[in-house]
Amino acid sequence: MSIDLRAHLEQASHVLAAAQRGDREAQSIIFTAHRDRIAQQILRMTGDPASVDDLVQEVFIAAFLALPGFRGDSQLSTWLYTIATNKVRSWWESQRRRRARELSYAPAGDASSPTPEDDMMAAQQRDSFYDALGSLPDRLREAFVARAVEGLSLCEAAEALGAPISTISYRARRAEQLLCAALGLPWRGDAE
Amino acid sequence: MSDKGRDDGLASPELRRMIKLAGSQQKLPRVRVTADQIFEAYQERRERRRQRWLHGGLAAAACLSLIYLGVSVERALYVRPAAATLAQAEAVPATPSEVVEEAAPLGPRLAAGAAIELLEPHGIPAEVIGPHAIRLSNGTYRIDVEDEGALTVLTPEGELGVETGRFTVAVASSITDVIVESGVAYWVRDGEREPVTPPQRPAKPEASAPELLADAAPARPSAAELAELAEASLRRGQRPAAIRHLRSLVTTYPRSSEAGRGLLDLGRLERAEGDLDASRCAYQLYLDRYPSGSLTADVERALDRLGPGPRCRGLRPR
Repeated sequence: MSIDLRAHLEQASHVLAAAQRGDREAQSIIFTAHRDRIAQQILRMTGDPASVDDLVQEVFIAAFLALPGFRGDSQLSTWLYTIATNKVRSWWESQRRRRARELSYAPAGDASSPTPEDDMMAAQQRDSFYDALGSLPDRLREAFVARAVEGLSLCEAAEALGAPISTISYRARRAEQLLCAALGLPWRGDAE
Repeated sequence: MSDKGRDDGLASPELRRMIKLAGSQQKLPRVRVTADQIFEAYQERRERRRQRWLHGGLAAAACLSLIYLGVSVERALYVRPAAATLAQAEAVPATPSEVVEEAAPLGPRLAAGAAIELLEPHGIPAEVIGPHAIRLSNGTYRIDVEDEGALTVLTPEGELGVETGRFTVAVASSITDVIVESGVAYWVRDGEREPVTPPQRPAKPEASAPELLADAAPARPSAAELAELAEASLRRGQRPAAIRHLRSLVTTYPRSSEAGRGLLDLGRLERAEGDLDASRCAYQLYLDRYPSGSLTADVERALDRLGPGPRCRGLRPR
């Protein structure tokens, strides 16, 4: 191991230990190091830029509260990924409730602002995709997002979601099948 | 994370295009939340949590006090009429606490000459049904029966009788295996006795359930069953048990379709358990068995993260 790398790792473990004790500076370092990646992950998982700020805040508050119990079994980034996944799961749940309320009380048409046609098509496709994604059961959605949207390998996804590789593989595939059905896309999984 | 060329597992190119399009549509807005805001909110919630604990503790203490007070009052009311005369006082049954003391321990106890020990830290303790009867759930147990005694052992696979000796019984899901170290053991099926695994083999007292299962013919769980057992253990949070099942899977059925992923899960779980050498060996064995597998690059990265270590012989470091 090179001296630079060792020094870096030692520094990282000092920062982690200080953050576990509730040190403000150390928590700030961790937040700055992981903020953008978590924000991107949340955006890819929800498709809703307006919710990113709130969810980032929720993720880091939850992480810092739970940090004293972090034993280092996994990498900090993987651990944060898991927390973000849980927060996004709650977010989808609240979205489902909100949409159900909206459908019951406000049957008005789409109020989105006019955009050029191409953009609008793409926006519609994105909305359809995230609508279909939101309708999936939590575990299927999480496995699918980890694999197909986040681009995690089966190993990484299994570690982040705390499930065996075969389970992740099955869930992601099942989610893809359901998404294809919901979006009117041909399912090509059985042809393999 | 979404590197080009990485296997995303998607079978539908149309869906892949849609995901790509959705991704390109999304520009990450500037994250406005600051470290200071997070720290303030964190402090506030920590304080709130502390207050909750404090209030919870106070409430619990108040409850205990009330219960204690209630018991004291009840005891006073209970004893007072009986204490009118000495003779009456003697005739009155003991106070509730004394009754409890006399009756303890609650539930049936095993006969004096019989003993049962749970060998697995994560196994489920045996349930004593009567002086000569126990029920076993998942786990590995050692049973000793002395002095011409006999014990009925209820297992998921049926009723087992053991007489005067030492036995090791491994129960995993619906499968039960028995190793007779000394004495006689038999299954009771339709009122008939069927002797257990003649000829007797030497027992491995410290062996875990899957090892016993692997040894004991013919009811050996299949690769799929072992994978299911591992997953069930993981769901229950029993990581060591999951590791044992996976070890059994990858050594007993190295050519099964479950073995490859079993090795990867084994590597991951061993690392989570802190046994880096065992984790390294599991990954190394994967590479040895599947040098051109689709996950080879991932496994190599995992090995890099683990760093150097001793060479491996199978799943064990040398």
